[in-house]
Amino acid sequence: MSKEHIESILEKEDSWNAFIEKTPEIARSASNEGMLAGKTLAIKSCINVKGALTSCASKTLDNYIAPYDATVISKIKSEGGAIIGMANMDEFACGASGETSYYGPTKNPSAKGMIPGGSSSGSAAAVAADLCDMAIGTDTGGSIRNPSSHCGVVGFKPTYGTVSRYGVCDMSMSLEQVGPIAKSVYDAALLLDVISGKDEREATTLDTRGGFSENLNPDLSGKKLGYAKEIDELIVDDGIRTSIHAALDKLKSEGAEIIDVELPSLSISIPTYYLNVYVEFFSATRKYDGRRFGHKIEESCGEEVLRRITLGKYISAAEWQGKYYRKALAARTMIRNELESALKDVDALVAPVVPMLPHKIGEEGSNDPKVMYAYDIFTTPANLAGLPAGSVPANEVNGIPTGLQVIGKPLSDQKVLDVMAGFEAL
Amino acid sequence: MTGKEDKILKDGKALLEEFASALDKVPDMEGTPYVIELKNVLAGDYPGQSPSDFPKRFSELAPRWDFGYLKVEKKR
Repeated sequence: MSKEHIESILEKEDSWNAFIEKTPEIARSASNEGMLAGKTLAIKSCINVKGALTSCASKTLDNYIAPYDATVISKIKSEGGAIIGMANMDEFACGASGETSYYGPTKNPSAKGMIPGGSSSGSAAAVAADLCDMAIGTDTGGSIRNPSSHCGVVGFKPTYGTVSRYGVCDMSMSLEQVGPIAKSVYDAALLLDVISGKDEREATTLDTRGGFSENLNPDLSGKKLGYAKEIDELIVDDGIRTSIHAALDKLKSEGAEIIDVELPSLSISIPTYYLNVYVEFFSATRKYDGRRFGHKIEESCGEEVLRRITLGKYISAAEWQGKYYRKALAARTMIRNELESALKDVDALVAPVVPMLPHKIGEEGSNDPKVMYAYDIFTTPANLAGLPAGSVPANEVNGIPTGLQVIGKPLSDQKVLDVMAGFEAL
Repeated sequence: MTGKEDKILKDGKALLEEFASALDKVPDMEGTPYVIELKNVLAGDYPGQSPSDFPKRFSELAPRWDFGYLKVEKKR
């Protein structure tokens, strides 16, 4: 590994508030051998890195120095990856803009003045600003794909169970996956090779075969790609509509076949997702009572985190479960069934990542949950169904990057990465 | 509940009603709490690991110790 490379990366000025803390000692202790030797990485601040501030970008954990490594971190270290810092993020991963961090908003290196997206805002911004080679994010409803799209980099959410969540401060345990953010599909696949696989300490992990980077095949000819007609009705910005149709034309020009599919329940993905998230997040945050570490969350967190806790507590109460949570679980089954049906005769689905362009940092309305949640309409279905999905840079609209989203069947992560690589090469 | 939580709950109830209304036409069917089958899994037998500094590091995170005991507030 080039020690000079690590030092030069560590010296770079972070003008985008992409990092909460740099970790030079951890970076300098990286091994010279392994699949990630020579690579510098940013880690989302909700993943335990031994000896580093793992704050979840919240005052609640502003004094929490992780006492152990998450499984993904152990794997990265064992393959020579140099962890250069803890990336900024939306507080406790509750956001899609990168504005809700206790440490201040992350700025978008690829679209001046605009939000970078979230919640893995710092991870995507650090890669886009060349402050590291690759990054780790988490994706519960689009938190890898959304900032990757806004910042013009590659992001991938694996099939649920592909990557261990041991050591991750989870936001919503049934929806969340850890995944790579990188400058190319190859690098994202390489990082996935390292972090994926069965973990005895995490009961939801699956035996996956790895080898994603080695087997990457960008050939698009003969690929069948589904596009749901409902998407066009739900797109808010004309620029996004133009961008996705230009992407479809490009895919066709390389021999891919675009097939009409139906996703009639796409319009209810946001209520389905948030009713699930509120309940699971309320449960996940009960450990932040300030007794053994950190501060009591309700007394130290920001508004969106408090909203999710308060509403999660409210709808968890037995008398409301039938109206909200159980209904949302049924809706989740419906969305999952529709996606399964749409994917039956195609290799993958394609879609925009977001329905609208990112807003300006601090713009009025950015505190309105309905405004913020609207970004998630095309990304949450993959989480609800546990499907692999990635974002690859597609186009620019008014100088703002937009991504193409590729979604696959469960455990077809390789196929999704192949389509992304094929599109990237165009 | 604090005043801030009160306000969030009041505003949030309107949001929840909107969500519930959007899901009104979802038919009754079995829900999906997890997309994979959850099983009780026992870890395999393996030799004990060498002493770790985890207990020491974790105990250092606690806000208050008195006479070797972790001291916490009573539940409010």
